[in-house]
Amino acid sequence: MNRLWSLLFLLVPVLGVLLVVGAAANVVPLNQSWLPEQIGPRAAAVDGLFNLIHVIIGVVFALTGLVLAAALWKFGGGKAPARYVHSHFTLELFWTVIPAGILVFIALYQLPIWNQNKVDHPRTAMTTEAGQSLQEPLLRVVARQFDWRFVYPGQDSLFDTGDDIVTFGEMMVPSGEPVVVELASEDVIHSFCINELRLKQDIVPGLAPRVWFEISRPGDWEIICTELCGWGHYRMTARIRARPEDEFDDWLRTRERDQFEYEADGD
Amino acid sequence: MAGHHPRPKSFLTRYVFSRDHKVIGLQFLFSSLVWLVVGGLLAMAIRWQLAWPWSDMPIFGRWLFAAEGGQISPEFYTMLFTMHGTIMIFFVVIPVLLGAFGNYLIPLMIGTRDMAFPTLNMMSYWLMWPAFAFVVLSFLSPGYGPAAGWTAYPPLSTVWNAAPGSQAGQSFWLAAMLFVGLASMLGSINYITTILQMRTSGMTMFRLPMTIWGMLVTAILQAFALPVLTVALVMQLLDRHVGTGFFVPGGLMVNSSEAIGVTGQPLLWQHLFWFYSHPAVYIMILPAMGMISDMLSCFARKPLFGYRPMVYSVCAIATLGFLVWGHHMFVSGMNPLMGTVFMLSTMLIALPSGIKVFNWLATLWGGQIQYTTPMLFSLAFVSMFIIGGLSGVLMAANAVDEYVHDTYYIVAHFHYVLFAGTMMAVFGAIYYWFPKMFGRQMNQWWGKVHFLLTFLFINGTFFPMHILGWRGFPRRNADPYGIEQFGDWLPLNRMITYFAFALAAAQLIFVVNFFWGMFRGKRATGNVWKANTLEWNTSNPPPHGNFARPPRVERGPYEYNHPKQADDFWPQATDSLETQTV
Repeated sequence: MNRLWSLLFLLVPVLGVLLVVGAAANVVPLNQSWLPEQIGPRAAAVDGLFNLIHVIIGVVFALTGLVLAAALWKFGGGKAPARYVHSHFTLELFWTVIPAGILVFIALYQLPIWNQNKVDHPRTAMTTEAGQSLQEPLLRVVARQFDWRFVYPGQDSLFDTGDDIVTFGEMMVPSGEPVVVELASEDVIHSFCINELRLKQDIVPGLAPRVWFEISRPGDWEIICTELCGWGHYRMTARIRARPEDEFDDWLRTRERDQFEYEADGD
Repeated sequence: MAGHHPRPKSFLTRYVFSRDHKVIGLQFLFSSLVWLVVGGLLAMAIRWQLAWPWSDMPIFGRWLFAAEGGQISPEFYTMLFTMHGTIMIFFVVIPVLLGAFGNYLIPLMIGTRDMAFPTLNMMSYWLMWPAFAFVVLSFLSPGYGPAAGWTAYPPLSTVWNAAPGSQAGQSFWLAAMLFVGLASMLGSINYITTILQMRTSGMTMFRLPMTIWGMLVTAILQAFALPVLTVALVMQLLDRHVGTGFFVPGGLMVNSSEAIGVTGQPLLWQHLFWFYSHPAVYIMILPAMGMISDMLSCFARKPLFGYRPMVYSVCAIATLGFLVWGHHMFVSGMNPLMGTVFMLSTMLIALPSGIKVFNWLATLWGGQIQYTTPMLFSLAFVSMFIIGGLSGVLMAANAVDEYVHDTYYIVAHFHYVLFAGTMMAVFGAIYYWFPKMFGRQMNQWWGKVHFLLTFLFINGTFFPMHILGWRGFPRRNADPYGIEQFGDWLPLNRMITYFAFALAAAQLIFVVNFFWGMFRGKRATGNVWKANTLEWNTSNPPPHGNFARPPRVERGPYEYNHPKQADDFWPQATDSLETQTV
């Protein structure tokens, strides 16, 4: 019976590791891909980090779990009196310094990716006479309970002017180049999330956070809201479409014509 | 002498408005367990919706949602997880750790007659009742109750027409939280004073059992963090009722009408809230770590390995605990450079937690392990805390957290820490101190059955949530399958729901065992577990005033298997039980 308890605790690292390794090696029935597809360099960078940290914590998880199970196997229900030891300085030093090193490594290693995704906007994309400057947003995403609106600045490149082009529930961006998007909320906090880009940014009303990303190839994906925004939170989704630049331009011109012809008809 | 008060004479002063720390401890224990049932049922309803979305709920559906035709409505779902979180955190975990075990154990384990302020102690329990009343009122409010999550982020929580639950229910919720905070505040002042001032002779700080260290540091955390939450709650109440606009910016159109607000800042709430609520995470784990340290050492019949590093780790966790709140806000829109700072402090806090795990493992290694029910639950704590702690390292890396933020990865993480961790320790502690509390034992065999089923089902419920989170599956979502990319994930969720139902059902064993033990359990006299700590130097249950005379402490709490002793334990005070029994 005593040995059975140690086996029970052994199940934790064994099953845990098998599950993850099995999924990574595409063993049925675990072979649904856990991470969503990658549609841009941003996703690849985050995934590399995600997998690396999982390997590190997976090793620690397996080792500590095995030590626990081994201790229970070896010393469970034993007759031999326990060892009278209170502490061991070298051991304490050992398991303080090594984990500290690992944690510092993870912290520093992931720093450039955070900086790239959240701190640096794509500077190289726009060169002005004064040198390199921040790229202006291609469009503004306006969130409200429970839908998404996408506003393109139109001919004058300025938002909140008469020639803004507005679409509902469908966001079009050019593929293969960095895009900057400004986010805004009209009511409560929403969150702009595209899982295939590993991108998430809360939209606090009153702030106008910007995100940037690059989608490598044309295709259609989903934007979901990932911050609780009320009863209809679950259905607050929209489409994101990426198309080559010329198709994007055509689409924008068509939208513009449709919108202003419609408005003209309305007058 | 502080803490001394006369023996109560009437039923009312003995069992209801009692100033005896043991009675107050049991009052906290019973009310927490009742709320645990309520919180658990809310969780079952959440799982029902995620396994069979928008389908008629059996039994309860017909009278709960008569208007909607027996189905959970989206606003009911948002209430469910809001109230599940609120109740489990504020009415179950914190009161059971500090209110129940803190109250019951602190005077006994430091060898004193009662708390420093017995009347304050009584008030700290009875202030919970207005909170209970307000929460019941909030359930009866429009939209079934508050629905902005337990984090109550403005403007959703603050603007009245932002959600049905943001009407009266939210105000009742805020009032309830104010009373809970006040109750905890009084409790923590009492615990700090008692532990610092009323230790019996010979009980130096470094002879305190880890349970007491956990309670002390937790009480200090509460005393420093709670005022901030209190202020934030009052500010949100003012925003809602006076129109101050602390948290609501100007120009919002909520639900087609303009919200009152001028220059408020929703992020301010998040900072204030998490400045309390992140330390609260440690408030919810440090006492549990303390209790399992004592149980592990006792049932390994071996001194706790690295007592001082353990104490320093607890202090380090508490200190760093005040510097990491921003890791809840990596994607909130706060300056990303601040995200970097909070990432670094969060990485640091993983270190003392890791040190504790290694010391627990070293305590077990070379021991003479006895598989009692409390020991099994303590081992489960270690095993499960490893999982919850390590997933925390992944989330500390802010570049990755951006992806897993607000997904089931987070849900898995904090349930591993709080349910598979803390609640396991609480179950262990109940089995362990039950003989002390009631003078009878719970059935050990059924205790082990309860343990085995809980351990299996808890992992069945929460481990697959990592997979969901890995896929980016969003939390707080009433119907994720409506999102195209998650359409295929219903079967896994249904499996999780089956495990969750089984987990809940397994707790019935505990309920029966608990009441059976209280009235019919085997009589437990003396030092049931052959433990060293002072609470075993008096009768089961201890009389009013705990000890006939204060025990004199001569050594630390972990002298198991001392080579010069005939017995494998060596109590902190050698006053024999007989001379102490009144």
